[in-house]
Amino acid sequence: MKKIVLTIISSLFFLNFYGNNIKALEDSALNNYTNKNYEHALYFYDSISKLDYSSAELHFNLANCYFNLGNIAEAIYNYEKANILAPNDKDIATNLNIARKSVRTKVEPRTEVFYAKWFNSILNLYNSNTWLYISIINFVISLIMIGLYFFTTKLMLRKTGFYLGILLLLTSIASLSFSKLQANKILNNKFAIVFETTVVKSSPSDEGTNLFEISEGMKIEVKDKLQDWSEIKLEDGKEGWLKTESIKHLQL
Amino acid sequence: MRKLFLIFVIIFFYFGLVAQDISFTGTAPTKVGVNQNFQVKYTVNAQGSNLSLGNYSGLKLLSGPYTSSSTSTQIYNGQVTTSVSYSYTYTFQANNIGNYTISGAKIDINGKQYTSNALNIEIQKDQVQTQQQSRRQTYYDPFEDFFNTGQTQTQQTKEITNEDLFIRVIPDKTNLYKGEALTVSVKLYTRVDLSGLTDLEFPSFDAFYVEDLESATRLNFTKENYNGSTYNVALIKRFLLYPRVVGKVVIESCKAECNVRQYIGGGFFARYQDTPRKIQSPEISVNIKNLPNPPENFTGAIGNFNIDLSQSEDTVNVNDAISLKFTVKGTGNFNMLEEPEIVWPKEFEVYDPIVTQNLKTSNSGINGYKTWEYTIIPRYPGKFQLGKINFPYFDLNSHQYKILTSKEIKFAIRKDINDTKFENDYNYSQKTVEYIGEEDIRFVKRGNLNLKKNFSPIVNSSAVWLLFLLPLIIFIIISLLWRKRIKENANIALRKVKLAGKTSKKRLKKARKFMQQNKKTEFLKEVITALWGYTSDRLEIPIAELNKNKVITVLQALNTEEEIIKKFIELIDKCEYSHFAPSSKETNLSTIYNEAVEVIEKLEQKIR
Repeated sequence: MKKIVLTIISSLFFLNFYGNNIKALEDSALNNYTNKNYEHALYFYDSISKLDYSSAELHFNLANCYFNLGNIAEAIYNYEKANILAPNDKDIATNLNIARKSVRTKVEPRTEVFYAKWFNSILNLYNSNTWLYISIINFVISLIMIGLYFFTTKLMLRKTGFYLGILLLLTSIASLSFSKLQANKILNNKFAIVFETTVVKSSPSDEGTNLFEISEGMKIEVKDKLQDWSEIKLEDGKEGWLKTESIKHLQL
Repeated sequence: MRKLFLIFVIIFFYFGLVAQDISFTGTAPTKVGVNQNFQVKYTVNAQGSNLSLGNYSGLKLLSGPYTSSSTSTQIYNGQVTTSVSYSYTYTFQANNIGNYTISGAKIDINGKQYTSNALNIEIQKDQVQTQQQSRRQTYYDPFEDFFNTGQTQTQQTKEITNEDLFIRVIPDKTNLYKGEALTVSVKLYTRVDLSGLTDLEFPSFDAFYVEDLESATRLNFTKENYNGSTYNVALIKRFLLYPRVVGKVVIESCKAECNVRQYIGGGFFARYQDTPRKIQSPEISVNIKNLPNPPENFTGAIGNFNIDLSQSEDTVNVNDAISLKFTVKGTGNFNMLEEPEIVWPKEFEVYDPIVTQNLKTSNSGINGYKTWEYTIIPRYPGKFQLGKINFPYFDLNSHQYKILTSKEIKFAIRKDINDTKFENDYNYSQKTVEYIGEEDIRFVKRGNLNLKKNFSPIVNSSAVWLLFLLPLIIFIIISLLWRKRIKENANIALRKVKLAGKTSKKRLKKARKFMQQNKKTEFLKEVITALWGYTSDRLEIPIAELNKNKVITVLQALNTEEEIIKKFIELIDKCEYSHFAPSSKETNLSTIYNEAVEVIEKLEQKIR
């Protein structure tokens, strides 16, 4: 009944003014969320996402609703998505960490080597598009610098132009590859979130030996697929097979 | 006196004969248990004689007839009416189940014979019999044989049925909420004499919290009507129960053994017989409903409550104790009440509360109050608002939840001015901000949600290369347009710099030739050109701006040693002097030449 009323209300919004529709949905969602009416807030945010809109912020808000409703798997799934889209957002990182605490099982995360850590922290400074913009700007400036080297007669200018030009060109290439890497995270993310607690088998069949149990909300890496089974890998290196239906991929 | 009475009787009798028709009726219970004594009574409204019972085959006549008579006189409107009634009572017993008929009894009244109505009696199976104890205790009466020889053995006691003696477990309600108080009374109902009650076994009440309300030390019988009969009723025990579970709960039967005292002998000394008899109450079931959806913080308080919050002081100095009292008053399940939830700031030292309660159990539940008293010692000054205490409970009168809210707990803690030690001791100025309760997720994003339709990273689109290609093409076009300039730049600037040393060396070679030919003027001119040309090319100083000062500043800017600069300037001065004043004293051409070579070499080394 509640749902029907909500549908009618939201369809009225559609009919009236499509342009203001999103804003209206957003306002309703925020209102409901503030009043701790998470079910309705979720419904409204979900309606926005059903219109094929997406953004880190939207995923974050959806995740918050799910978290407050106790649906940890959906919450983590949406926080992770938000995190991919906006890797440097502190709100997302904080809430994702809190949500992860509610997952029943835990895997000791691999300790990253210091340079990998640095690399990741630099990579995660911006998302794919921002890195692309940085790359283009760097490229243009590097061309200007090389122009300086070519067209001026002052030795100092020519020198700075030459070296800065080369440096910026390298930076531009690096930023471009960062942008590619970040885009890959969105489009070809190998990771998935577990949606129902399952036992991981040693082979892709029900007869396989039971290896270990993974619980709802865990993040796993998908290595391979065979019919309706997926080969997965945990962060600590454990591997096994499980039914693809019990996980949800993070890629778009 | 006696004569007078007889006269009266005769007069009444006379009147009765005249005034009334004769009626002769028999009455008997229609249903009787097997082996149970019952009485058949014949009533006649005149004195008769020769009463003879009808046929009563199958029934056993135990005793009778007992005769009794009554007379009543009525004076109405001056007319006196008198009625007389004689009754004859027989006691029968039936040993077999079935329907029996006692045909009409006959009586002679004034020489005329009257016949009563026939009586139908149904003898039923009697449950009492199955529970009857075989063990019988008889109090031996030594005079019995003496007075009633041979009669004792056949003397039957009156049989006791379940209707004569039973026990009941009576709940005050059968439909209630979980946690609601339920009063259960255990009562003994009897129509016979009892000499004792033993082996009382109460139900276990597994599904309840049990409190004893009332326990009878001796049985106090009162008259009570139950199912149309009057019983002597005694309360054995009363319980106060709080259901712990939900659903249909069966309260088991209550068992007891009674000693029934029966009169046996009609002798001079009354004789009694005590028969032990086991009785058992029927099981009763109670329906326990779950409470409707409880509000937040509901701990299970059900009843009718009032709360009170008091604090000893609002404003105190640091390290002075404050007491905070939270009291719940009323009626309800006090045993379910939990300590109020107060989030104390870390600046407070709070001791475990002292819980005092004054509770009385009554039929409506537990009645009284419960108090939590906290002792708090604030360790830091400041204003603290700890919020209100919410006390939700289920109100049994309105059958809905109610939330009582206390006043706000507020403290103002002053810094103790006299206490100088304080700041050092407690490191008052610095304190890390900590989460008061649990960490919670951050709030949703507001405002611009940066919504994008069918979001996909730009970098993977093919058009992205245009973004790089476009500036590159512009750059190439500009380069093509200005390629002459680039070439010129490459020639003039770069080459000059690179070839400065070489050019000057060439000039110096030429100068050496002039020196060998002893062409002094040409030699000097060539050296000067070499020196100036070198500085102009190497230091990128246009010929027009070339002068000694400029050269000095540029060289100084390049951190050239003062010595070299000085040598260079001196050499130029020397050459120019000799060149423009040839008549002056001889100058050594080879020295000048060597110096010029040395200076240029040194400069070449220095400037990189």
